[in-house]
Amino acid sequence: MKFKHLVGLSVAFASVAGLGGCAATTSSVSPGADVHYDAHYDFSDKKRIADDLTASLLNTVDLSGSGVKPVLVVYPVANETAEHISTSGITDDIRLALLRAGKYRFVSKTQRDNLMAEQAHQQANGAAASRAAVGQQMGADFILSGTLRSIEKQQVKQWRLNKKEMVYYSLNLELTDLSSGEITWADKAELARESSRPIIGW
Amino acid sequence: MLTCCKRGARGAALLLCLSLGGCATAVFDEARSHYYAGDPVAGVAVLDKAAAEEGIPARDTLLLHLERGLMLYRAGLFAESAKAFLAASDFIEQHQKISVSGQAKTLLSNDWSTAYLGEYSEQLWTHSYAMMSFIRAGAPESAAVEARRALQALETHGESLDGALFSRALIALSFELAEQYNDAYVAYRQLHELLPDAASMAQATYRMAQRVGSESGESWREKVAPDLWTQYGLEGGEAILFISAGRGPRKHSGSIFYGSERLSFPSYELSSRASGSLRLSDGQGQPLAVQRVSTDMSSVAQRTLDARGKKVLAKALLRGRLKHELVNELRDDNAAAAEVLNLVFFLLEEADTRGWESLPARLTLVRVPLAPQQQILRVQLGEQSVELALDPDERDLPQLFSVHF
Repeated sequence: MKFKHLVGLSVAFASVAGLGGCAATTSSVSPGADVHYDAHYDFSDKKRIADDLTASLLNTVDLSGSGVKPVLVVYPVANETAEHISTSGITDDIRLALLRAGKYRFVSKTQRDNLMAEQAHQQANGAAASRAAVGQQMGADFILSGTLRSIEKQQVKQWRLNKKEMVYYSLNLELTDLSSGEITWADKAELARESSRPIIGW
Repeated sequence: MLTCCKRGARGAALLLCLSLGGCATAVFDEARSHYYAGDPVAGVAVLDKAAAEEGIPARDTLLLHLERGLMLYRAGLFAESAKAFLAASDFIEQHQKISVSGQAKTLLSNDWSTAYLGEYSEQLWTHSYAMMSFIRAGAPESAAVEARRALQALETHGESLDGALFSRALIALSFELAEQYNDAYVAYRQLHELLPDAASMAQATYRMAQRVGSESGESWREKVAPDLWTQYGLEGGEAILFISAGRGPRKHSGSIFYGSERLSFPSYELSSRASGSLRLSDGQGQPLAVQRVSTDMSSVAQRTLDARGKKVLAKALLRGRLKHELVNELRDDNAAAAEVLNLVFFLLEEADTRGWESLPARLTLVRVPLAPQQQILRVQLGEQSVELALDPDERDLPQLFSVHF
């Protein structure tokens, strides 16, 4: 009799488990919303980091003393975290915000090879009047560069039902004068988050 | 009675087939046979076809990523192999939760019915192969990310992974190539505390000490063999080799019988060890002094399996007890059915012998200084040898090679 009960219970559990997996949902989330599923880096963090550092750069340093907008070249932000984070997303957002603010001009590092190839193509095949001038590219006044770091700690092994994890991120960004080598501006954005997730699930 | 036994036997066979996932095993065996025959691309094709036709159960997804990743690596498709190893890491991360339903299934059948998450050693080697793939794909920063993940695995699983010296050397190298010199220096120092021969990576450690301005660097300089020091002083560049040899460890099922019942547990058996000593020479056959760090995969794998041995045994005992009680309960109502159930349970009591079988028996990281204008590097293991063509003009970056014997 007990065996039959066991079998019945097993079938009931299996049915609930099977049906539970059917409920899939999709909904829109605002890109500006602060949404986190776990302690790790996500799009909300990217936005916050980019916003904080752009505000700092715009509000704490004025490099247009002579009335000419300084030219910046953006170098990749080094990823020194334990996650495969595309840091070009951060630099793209910062560059876009600075361009919109109208205080800086930019030359593209990532398009250099394409520019050279296109110029070479024009020199070889383009009509003389429409060829881009060679050797006339604008030189940058400053390099914008940085490093993204993280420190991750997990709860020590012990009997528990939840696993806690804490992650700290910092993005240090700096602006270096290409002529003098002086670091004209530097700042950092920090994030720290703790999350807990159940160790046991259905 | 005869009909009942026939049904029982059919049921047992069906259950056994479902439980052991025989079809998936056959797919992996076929892919590995291509791989061992020197055609990793054909092996990948077998796996991809099976995956597309849903011929590999979800519980074996990790094995699919691992075997596929290693075959892609051997085929020289490094960007693709890196993706496969990242998928493997993600799968392990997503399945860390203890599933009540999954554990219940394993108590009634065996561990084959749950998702395979790899031994701790396999989890570390997932990051190691990801590091090698990213390095070979020209993405050292991504290799450094994997290096940090590998450090987390080493920290989590402690002493059982102490012998994984190759992975530790690879971690240091990944940081070095990503120009994250402080992390590289720390990783080299940690490696040195575990190395049986302090001179093994002394030159690399010395170079990192110089990079970060550490005054303790001179102590490593003293440990470097004079001929190696002279070779590195010639400014002829450097070659870095990832050498894999032999076939890695395979699991087999061991059993303890008591009465009409049995308990099963997995253990490793050696399929083939890499034999012979490793020698490197230049084009004229002149032996070269090298830095090297090596890992015997079998011994590390066995240690990590031993580390979770108590859990495996406890679960086998619990499963045996549960099955025994269920059979006894049924025996009161229907003795024949109880005997069939006992037979089914007996057949199902099979240790989970799934594993990353395409791994080599030994992994060795070799760094060798190159003489100016050197064009050939000869690598010899026992009776086997390969010649590597060097770029004599390359001075600034190390020349990277993956070699398999």
